[in-house]
Amino acid sequence: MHLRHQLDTVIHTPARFSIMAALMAADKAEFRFVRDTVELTDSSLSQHVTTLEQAGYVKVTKGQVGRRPRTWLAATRSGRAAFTDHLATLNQLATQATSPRDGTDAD
Amino acid sequence: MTDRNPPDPMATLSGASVAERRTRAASRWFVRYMLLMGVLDFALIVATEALLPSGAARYVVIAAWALAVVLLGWWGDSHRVWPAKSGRHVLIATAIWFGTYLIVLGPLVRLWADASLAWWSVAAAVTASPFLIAAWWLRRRS
Repeated sequence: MHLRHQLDTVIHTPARFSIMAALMAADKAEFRFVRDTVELTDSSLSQHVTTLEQAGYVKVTKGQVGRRPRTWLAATRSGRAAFTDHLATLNQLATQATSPRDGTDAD
Repeated sequence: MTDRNPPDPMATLSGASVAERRTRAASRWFVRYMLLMGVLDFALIVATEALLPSGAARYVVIAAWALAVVLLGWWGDSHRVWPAKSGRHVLIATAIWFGTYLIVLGPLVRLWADASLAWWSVAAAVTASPFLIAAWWLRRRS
């Protein structure tokens, strides 16, 4: 079976993968910080976060600091596991792409 | 960045690496947070046990310490990122600080050295050390 079949379809897109990468280094990160870091618009990030939340990979918490409302994003345990597996597969794919073919990756 | 590109592994990994680096950079404030927590906890023990072991001033010091901890929490919440495992670091360091003070070092120093500034300073430094160790470890990682 080709390695691409092991890729997680939820975090397959570069944007969602980057969102997860940003959240992996944090207990929690503010929505706007993730938006700026991954260079997405509010609505686009919102859509990706909803997808990740529905998959159980991201937890969204609303809070308030002073009078300012804040939305915090955090990677869940299953999100972290999914990201780690996906990253390992991507690394293998990248290694295969840069090394000579050995004939074992055919469909 | 657009999310409609075909997912090229190298480009995806590179973009994710940048995102992770930015998150780590935005988390550096937490080292100062842990250092300040350690300093506050050290100061509380020295002030209440050695400098002001009795009297109303002791309670003023405790109230000032509590206020400082609340202000530090507000300062922490003003940041946009809490680094990975930060909550666990704070919880473990606080538990060790309070546990060693309440159960081990506090009773021992009180028994053997009463209100000796030198001994309480050493005890307070030991009890606050988890905060300083966590700060050092986080600084190395970031």
